[in-house]
Amino acid sequence: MADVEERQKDMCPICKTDRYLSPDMKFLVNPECYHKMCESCVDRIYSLGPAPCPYPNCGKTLRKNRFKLQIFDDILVEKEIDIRNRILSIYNKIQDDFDDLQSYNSYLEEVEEMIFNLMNGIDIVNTETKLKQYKEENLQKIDLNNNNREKEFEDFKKREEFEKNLKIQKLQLERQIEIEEKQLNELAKKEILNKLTTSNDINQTISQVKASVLKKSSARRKQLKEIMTSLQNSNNPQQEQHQESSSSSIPFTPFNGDRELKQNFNKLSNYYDPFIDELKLKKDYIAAGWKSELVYERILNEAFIGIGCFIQDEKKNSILLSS
Amino acid sequence: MTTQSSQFQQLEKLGEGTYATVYKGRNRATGTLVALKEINLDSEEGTPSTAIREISLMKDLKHQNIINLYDVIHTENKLTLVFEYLDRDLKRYMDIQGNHGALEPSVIKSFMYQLLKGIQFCHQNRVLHRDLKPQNLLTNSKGELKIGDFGLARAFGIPVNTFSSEVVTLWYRAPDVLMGSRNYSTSIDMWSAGCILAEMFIGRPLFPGASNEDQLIKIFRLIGTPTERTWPGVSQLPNYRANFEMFVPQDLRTIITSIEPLALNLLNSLLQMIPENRISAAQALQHPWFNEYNGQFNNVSFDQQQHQQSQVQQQAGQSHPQPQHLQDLPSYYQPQQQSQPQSQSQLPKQQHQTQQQYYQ
Amino acid sequence: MSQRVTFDELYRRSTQYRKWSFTKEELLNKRIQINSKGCAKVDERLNQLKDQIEPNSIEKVTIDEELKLISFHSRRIGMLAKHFNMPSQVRATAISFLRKFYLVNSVMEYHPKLVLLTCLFLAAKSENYFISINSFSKRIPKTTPESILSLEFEILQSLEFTLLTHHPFRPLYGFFFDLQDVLKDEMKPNELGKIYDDARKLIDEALISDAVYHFTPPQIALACLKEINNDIILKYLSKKFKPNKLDTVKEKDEEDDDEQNETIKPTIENELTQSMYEKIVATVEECQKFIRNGENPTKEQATEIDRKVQYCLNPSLILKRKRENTTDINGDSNGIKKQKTDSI
Repeated sequence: MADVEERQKDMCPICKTDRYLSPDMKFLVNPECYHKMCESCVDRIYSLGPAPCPYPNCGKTLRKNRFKLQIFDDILVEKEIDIRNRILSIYNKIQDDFDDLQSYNSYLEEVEEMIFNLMNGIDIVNTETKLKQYKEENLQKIDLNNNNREKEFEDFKKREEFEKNLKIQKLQLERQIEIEEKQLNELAKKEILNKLTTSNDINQTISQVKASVLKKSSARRKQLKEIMTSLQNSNNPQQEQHQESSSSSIPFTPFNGDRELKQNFNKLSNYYDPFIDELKLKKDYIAAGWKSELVYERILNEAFIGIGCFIQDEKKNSILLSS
Repeated sequence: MTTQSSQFQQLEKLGEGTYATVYKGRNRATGTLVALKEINLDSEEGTPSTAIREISLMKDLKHQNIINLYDVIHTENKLTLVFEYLDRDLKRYMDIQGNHGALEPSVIKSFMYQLLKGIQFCHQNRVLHRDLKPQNLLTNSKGELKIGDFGLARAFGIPVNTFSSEVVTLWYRAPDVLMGSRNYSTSIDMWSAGCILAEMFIGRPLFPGASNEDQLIKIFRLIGTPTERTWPGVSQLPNYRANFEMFVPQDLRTIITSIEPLALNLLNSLLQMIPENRISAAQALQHPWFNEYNGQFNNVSFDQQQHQQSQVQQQAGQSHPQPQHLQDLPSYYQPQQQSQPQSQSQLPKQQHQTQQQYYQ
Repeated sequence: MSQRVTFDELYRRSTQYRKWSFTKEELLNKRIQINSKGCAKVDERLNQLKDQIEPNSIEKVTIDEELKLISFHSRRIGMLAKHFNMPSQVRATAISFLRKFYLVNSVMEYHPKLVLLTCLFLAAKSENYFISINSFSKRIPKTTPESILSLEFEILQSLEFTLLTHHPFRPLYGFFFDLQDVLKDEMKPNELGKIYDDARKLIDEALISDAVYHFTPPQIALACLKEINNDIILKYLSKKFKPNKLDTVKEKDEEDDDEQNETIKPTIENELTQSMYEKIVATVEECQKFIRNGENPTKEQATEIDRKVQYCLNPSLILKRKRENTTDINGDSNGIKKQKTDSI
């Protein structure tokens, strides 16, 4: 029995082609019914347009473009993954979208229940309408979160790539250092020999040469390090970008941003005001950075600070609210 | 309202303010740490006007980047202002966290942004701080920065007021004030902000002058000596001298080698010799250096932001300012690459220079 | 969508709005409370002297009388400030301190003629107009630095340390400029200058009215302007806030660079609705009523109330007067009486 099942797993139930004979064979499924068939069957049956599923008693209308590679052996797992992906691409909130853990958890539970329902054919009509409704209501938010998720993934890939490159470069540099050191050592040996032939104090000569070699090699090392760090900084747009997005922390500001930019007035370049006109001519004011435009703007602004606060109404409401 | 001073346990002394002594304190009931600023009332003039002004301004200046005044307590011979407590001032932060005092570029950017936010709020409320310096900027482990010590601050009038020139600790004092201008306005705070920005990069004061004269010379050495031609009206200022030693403007990068081009551009806009050319706080906040902070506020509600921030902090659990990732970044938002052609093109050159140094 | 803070929101954050703006009902309730608190204090004092004085022998001050007395002394602040040559900002702030103080305390607790001096001195400090206590008290007869400073903390506490006060002067100045733009075809700048000057004088009247508690500085400024010239301000407001006049605003905007234009348009359309225009006009007209009906008690009225307050503050004066009546009044005992009341 087990043997037959094993064999069936590798055989197309429609054309009975066996993987044993054609090892390149791929099984495809269609999320409509998850009945598997081989690639050539799909080509054969659906190339000319939608057609019913060839499985007995199924009869679902299938389209070629919806067929996909079967990843999991267990077709139930395959189906669940598909449903899960579909639901999660719509119900894509993250924990930060919620005020507390509890509401996030109940949201997750709701999502799981929908997946379970769709999986097991419970209450499909209601679940689908709920899904549709949610999608319509949260369209923007859904897009945003999906984009973020994609971006995160991209960032992750970029970082991975960058780190890989950096490692390769590092290895190269290290090898270079090694080679240079060897060369320097040999050079030193030669120099010692050369000098020994001309000098008397052997020990001093040796230590002199050693010191100069050491100096050279440490300077080299420093240079290489420098090159490395500069490589790290310059050759690294991804990381910079990444840094930018992660440091897009906004120092907290109480107004969620700034003051209203719109002004309630047109600013003229000049107003009638003998007092200001007089100040405009004063040299010490000019030297001190006094500008009539700034004065105009500030004064005009002040005319509208609180013009729309209607105390009687607003305070009455706040009393009502508090009582 | 009628808080008793016994409600607070006085802890160690934090420092001497401009007209008061500041202690660390603890609220006995809640355990909250506070800063207690004690003002002696021995003065013949009653409550010192500096205290009156500080109270008056702080009561209305409620902003995340400005230290919060909780309460005022009156006892027989002293007045105690109860302020929000923050771990340390920026000067100490730089000494402890910094690399020889210099800070990480991302930290500098965050601090600078918050500083400008605070200044902008003051200026919008017609308040000049007049004494901005690292010692007056307070920071906490959440990476927040708040402006404190409004003892010298004052509301400024329109169209003009004359002020005393005894403002702003010498090192952060604007050249126009040093030359005796009494008609200064918001631009003096912007100069101080520029000095602070530079100090965060290099880890030490940019212009540590020993006297008024020395302070001016130090500024001229870097920014160039002004003349009537470069700064119309400068010769009218009381302390201007025609025989000032002449210096030509230097590239700020000779002193601040580590600065990135956009930050340099902002710094240059702040350290403008002529007050009216100095960038305003509102303009500075729109500077491309802050692009990543701008344009992202719209979708985030107050609570959410706060919530996210506290969450991140909990997760991070470190004293370093932790960037909070914004989940709600609108998809249409693309950071504008408003390039600064001049400074950017100079970037490779700068790197080249540093490499050369190593080859010498 | 936009979460930028509006100018109105900025005003709502001020202590002036949060702590010192009330509905009419709130304000009335406050005054009733304060008056009964004052009366209770008088009863307490009488109780201590109950062997000598009958409980009902002292007439208490009514709410209306309290108001009159405060108005009278508010006007005196104005005169004093002019005497010291203080800027209008100091004068206005001092008046506002005095009037706020009596939203927390009754004249039957503190006599305004003392409080007003401390208010003026405190306002000078908080508005950064330096005057030393000695030169201040020297120029006011029968005061000492101590008598002025002794009340300083009471006042600070009554004001809950909220000292920053926004007056209608600056908004008025702003409207003076904006009028030049909006009504440039109708009015010459110097004609507007005349209206501005007259309106500025009216602000003093507004400052001692309850308008300051019910309206914002720009609304009060508009009310003052409209008192001076009703038609021109109505025209201004309709051009400014009526939606059908929007076209003119738009045209002007389009002359500006496009970028700015785009951000401006939608908000203008949102805000400038017919109801906004009506709301503003109604509010300004309501405010005008307050300015018109400000209290201006005569000196005689004030003296009469003042006398009552003296007895309320110091019931033992009745005993003294009884004694004086029996021993005939002479100049000396008058002097004693004055001293006594001054040192309260």
